[in-house]
Amino acid sequence: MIRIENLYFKYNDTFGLHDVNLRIESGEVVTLLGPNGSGKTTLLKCIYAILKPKSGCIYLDGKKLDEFTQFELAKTIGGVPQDHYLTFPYKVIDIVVIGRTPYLSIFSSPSRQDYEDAKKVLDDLGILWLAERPYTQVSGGERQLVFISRALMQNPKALLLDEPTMHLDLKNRVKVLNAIKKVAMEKNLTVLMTLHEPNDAIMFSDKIALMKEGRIIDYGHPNAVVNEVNLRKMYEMSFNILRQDNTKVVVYQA
Amino acid sequence: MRLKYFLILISPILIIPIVLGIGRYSIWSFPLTDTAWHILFNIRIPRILLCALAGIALSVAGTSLQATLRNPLVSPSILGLSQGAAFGAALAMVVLPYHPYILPIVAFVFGFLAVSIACLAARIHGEFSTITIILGGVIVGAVFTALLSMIQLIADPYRLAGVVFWALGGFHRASWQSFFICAPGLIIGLPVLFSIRWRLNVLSMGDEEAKLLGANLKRDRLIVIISSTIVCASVIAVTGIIGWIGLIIPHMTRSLIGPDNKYLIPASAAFGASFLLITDTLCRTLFTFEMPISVVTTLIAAPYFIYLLKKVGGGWR
Repeated sequence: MIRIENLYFKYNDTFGLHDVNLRIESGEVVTLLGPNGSGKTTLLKCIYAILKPKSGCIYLDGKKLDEFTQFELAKTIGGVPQDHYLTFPYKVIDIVVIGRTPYLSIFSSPSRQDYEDAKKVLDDLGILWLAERPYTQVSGGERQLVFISRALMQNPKALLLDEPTMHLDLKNRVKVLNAIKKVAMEKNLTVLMTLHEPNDAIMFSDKIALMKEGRIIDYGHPNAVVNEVNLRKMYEMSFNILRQDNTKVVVYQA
Repeated sequence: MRLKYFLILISPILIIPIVLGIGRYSIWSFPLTDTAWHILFNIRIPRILLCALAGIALSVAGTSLQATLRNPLVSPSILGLSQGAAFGAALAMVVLPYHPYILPIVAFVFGFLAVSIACLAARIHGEFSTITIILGGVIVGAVFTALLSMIQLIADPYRLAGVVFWALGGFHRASWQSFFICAPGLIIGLPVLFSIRWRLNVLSMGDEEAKLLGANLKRDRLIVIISSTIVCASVIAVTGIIGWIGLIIPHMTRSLIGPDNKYLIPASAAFGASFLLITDTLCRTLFTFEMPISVVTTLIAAPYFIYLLKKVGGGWR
């Protein structure tokens, strides 16, 4: 579904991404794990076509990213960016229906059917009761689900999420990640997300790509790539890895 | 909400017949005398139509710009439009020969020019961000204010009075002529802003998100800014500067029916028209002389605005 070959990206004079290669199959949930400034967001923005790579290629469904028009791209990948500055207190349903933009011409508005579809998406994620509330007044976890709903309204083949668990408490973190996993399964969506908590990454992804200083240092099944050596290399700290019921649990040493 | 929306939409239609009958000269007689007929047809009707159109234009432009630039403090004058138009009008009055069409056309051109310069100044690497556009507008506005001061300095006292009075704005110059001067810009700009109104929701999500959602950000934003500028400059060119409307009417309407631009644009158009019709009627009837409308709009709107801020955070929190 997503294929990245020899991708280089440069911020002014420093490298943002260095020879990134990544292959994500259809329906896989892949997590980018790595310290701040390791290039996770940069990589996502290159796939969104918000940043233009210096060299290398990105293919979506076998088609080169350069060949996509903006609304074709929006029909292929739905994104939830890291920061959203709240402005006007739109109702949750109005935010979700905005996801229909790539299917509407500049001078048209969403139809009754679009609003019905938006309600259905909200229902799938268990937040239909929020539909009429201002999105500025719902909790952080609920707002993430609202933005995921909006991305789903684009009917994408892949979902790109930049730190969907940022600022969330444990309960909401699990709730959001569960929701992501559920929609990925039900709609056979490819998911590429960035996370900071290694245990979340192990529990919720099919594959993990470890990033450090703009490079992917390891990529594969969580049990294969998450180990003491890789984690120490990434974070420059010491870790212990425990085993519980066939999954790994990462414990860090303070 | 539906009832509120409906009431706001029909309010100008209810208000127009009432304000038509109010004025210094009582036109109530049957059959209408020649004088009454003249006053009604050549003075009140064009004035009231112009007033309603100005209310629609300034409010719709204000709402559109606030959504596009995602800033509740934006109004047409913050992009340098008013200052540019005021300079253009002063230039026409002081330097150019008098002709009924020259002044509004020069005011329009300079208003449009000011916004264009602001947008060009805001362009960095072929893209402009919301913040640089606003900053560009503030800078260009300051430049035109400085140029206006220079003209005021060299103008002779009689023309200076004209320049100052023009900047105060108002509908006392309203005539069929001014109505027809301002109409073409509105016929071009308003339908565009009305039909693009849902897209404003998308643009207000921010630059990156609007792109992710498949909107052609550069094109869409340019369409909104150009249409708003044409619409406002057309009005300001014949009425002079009418402050506050483009800033407060969007807020007032938003606090009444919510921020969804699909409904907000029509509602703020109707609300702006009603608001200006009522304030202009007060301006021309309250005293034996005519009050400048900016004074009245501000005096009425400011307390209401403060009340809104206290009650609902201005409708955008």
